[in-house]
Amino acid sequence: MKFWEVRATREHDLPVLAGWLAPGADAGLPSTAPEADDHEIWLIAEHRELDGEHRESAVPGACLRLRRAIGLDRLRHWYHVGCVVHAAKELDLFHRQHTLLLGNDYTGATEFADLACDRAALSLAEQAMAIRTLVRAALLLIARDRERYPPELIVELPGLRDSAGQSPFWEGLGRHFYAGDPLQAAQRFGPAWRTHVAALLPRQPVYTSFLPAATQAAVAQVQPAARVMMEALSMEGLRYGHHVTIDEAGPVFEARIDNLQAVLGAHRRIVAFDADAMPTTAANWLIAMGDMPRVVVARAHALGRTLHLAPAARDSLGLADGDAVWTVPMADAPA
Amino acid sequence: MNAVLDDARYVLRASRMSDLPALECLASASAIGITSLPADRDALFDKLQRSDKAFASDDDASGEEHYLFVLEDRARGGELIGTAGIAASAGFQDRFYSYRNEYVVQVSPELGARNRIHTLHLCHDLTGVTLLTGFHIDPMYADTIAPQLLSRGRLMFIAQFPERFSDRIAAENPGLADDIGNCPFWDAVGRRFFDMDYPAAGELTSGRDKAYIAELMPQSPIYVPLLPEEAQWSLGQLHPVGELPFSILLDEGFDGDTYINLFDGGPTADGRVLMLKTVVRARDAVIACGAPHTGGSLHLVANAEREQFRATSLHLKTDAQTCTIDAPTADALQCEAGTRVRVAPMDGEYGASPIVGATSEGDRA
Repeated sequence: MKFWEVRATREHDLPVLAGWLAPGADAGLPSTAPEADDHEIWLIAEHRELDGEHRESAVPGACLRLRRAIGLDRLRHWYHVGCVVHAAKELDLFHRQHTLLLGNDYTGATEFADLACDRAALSLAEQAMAIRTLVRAALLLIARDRERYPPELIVELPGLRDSAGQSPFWEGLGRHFYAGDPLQAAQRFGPAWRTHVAALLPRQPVYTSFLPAATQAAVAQVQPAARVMMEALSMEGLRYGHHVTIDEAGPVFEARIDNLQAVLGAHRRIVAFDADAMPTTAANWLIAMGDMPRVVVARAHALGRTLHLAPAARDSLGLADGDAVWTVPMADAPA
Repeated sequence: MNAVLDDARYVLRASRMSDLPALECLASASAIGITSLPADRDALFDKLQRSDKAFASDDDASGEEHYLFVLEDRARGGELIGTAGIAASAGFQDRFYSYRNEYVVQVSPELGARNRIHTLHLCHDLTGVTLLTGFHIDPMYADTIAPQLLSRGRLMFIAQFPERFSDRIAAENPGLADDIGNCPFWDAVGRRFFDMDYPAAGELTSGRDKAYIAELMPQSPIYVPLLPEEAQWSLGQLHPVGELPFSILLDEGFDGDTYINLFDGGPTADGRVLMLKTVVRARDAVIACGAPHTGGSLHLVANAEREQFRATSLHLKTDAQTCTIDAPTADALQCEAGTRVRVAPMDGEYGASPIVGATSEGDRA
């Protein structure tokens, strides 16, 4: 079993991460300008592996950008998927119609953006674990800095694409309003392309029944390879909130931060290295330490506001007795 | 054939109950797709009864009136060759629905894109306006002055009784549909909400308020680029059967580009009564009995009666203050010497009328 650690992305990670991201995704480090650096943290999950010469090295497996207060500098758009019923008893008519309404509904929210993992190197179970750890670590960091993050959290998931990389949703809707190639535009403008194209998209509700069947069927459908992300988010308590992305209709998962178990169960605790206090049933805990975003996983046991750790882990964790950390168990306690 | 010989040949008048058999005959020969003249005796009977009530109603009309006019060919012993109506107030008891053509321009400077997008807005704009309805004429008369008289004569009636009508006027025109009931606009729009084909929907709407159906249609604007290409092409397109009445309305100054019909996408023409050509040109004249003029230009002549309304076409000198007609014509117009009438010049040349005595059956096909 791999133990994942989460830290901020650094310059030398970029070549690896670039291969995981969707075309056109922002591939640069967050700005370090004083006014910008707290808007975004790019987190990476890595695990330690022994190489051929038995030297330990860290191998990245998943990443996400933790953003706060999105859509204020650059407008963000989503379609709200609504429902209208057209009914007439006399005609035995009951039609449930879906509508798409363009809006900026999540403006000001917290976001996990560009959630991605190394699909080539990791098994599905490993991907699930890496993402799970990464998402929960991000929630722990939010809990640690709770007042800095707006209470609404969203995560956009990639929508359906055919084998040629075309989105059936775009083909049936967006294409009629912007004739250019969306992939080219995304590569040219980066994430801002969606802001640019939103200016061309319909502002009034669109009845999905006017769209081709394949387009309708693609609404809120996640790319099969991204199901593992969707499941990880579901486990953390995020849900599809009837919004989709404007280019491929990928579902947007949402939650109120303060309702999430990972946030409710996160606490500041004092570290105590004490072999005697560790029961055999000690569970895995996420531990956020230091000022920089760094979260590790270790077997631990919480008693009140004390987190007991095995003395053997002292060196690898770089902690000392009496250090204050933020912690949350890896798995929620059974309800 | 000299068109002057057609002077006063056709007379437009208010319908009466005794027109029922002749109307039935006209209806059974009418084109598919036009539901306003049902080949159904009871429905026609109701229409006639409603019209009788409308013409007889007091001047403080309710707006519910539906006036039916018929056109007689005096050369055929007064045979009915056409009919047309006026609904005083569209959608009187409820709303009158149309789609209004609108365009939005959306721009993305960054993407270098600028789109003019055609949208259809479900609207009630035409609620309460006067509606011209049910124009039908024996196809044999299509090129003659008869359809002109049938259509424009109604405008004379409206202009003479403005308190009974709106100052705005509209007319629905049939959209594209084929003989077996395929209608590209309905198939692209209405069908998605009703699961029924166009003829079935037509039956449904003929029996009840159209507004009821309209409420089940999408209430937000329709983005035309999302419709199938065939439906896009059919927007505002006229069924060939409607070309003649539509061209007359356009000539009168109706606008045919703003509104379209909710069901078949045909153009709904609209205009201001006081701006219409016939209304603008109309002036007073006095009837004199004698030998008719032989020169001059074609004029529409209408008496000032309501239940005894009559209109015909005559050649008159351009600024003639009197309108000299022979006794049978005066009789047909319900006039006598000294009666004040309204006259309005008509443009254009019209084809020869069918020769009296020719059989019409062959031509109707």
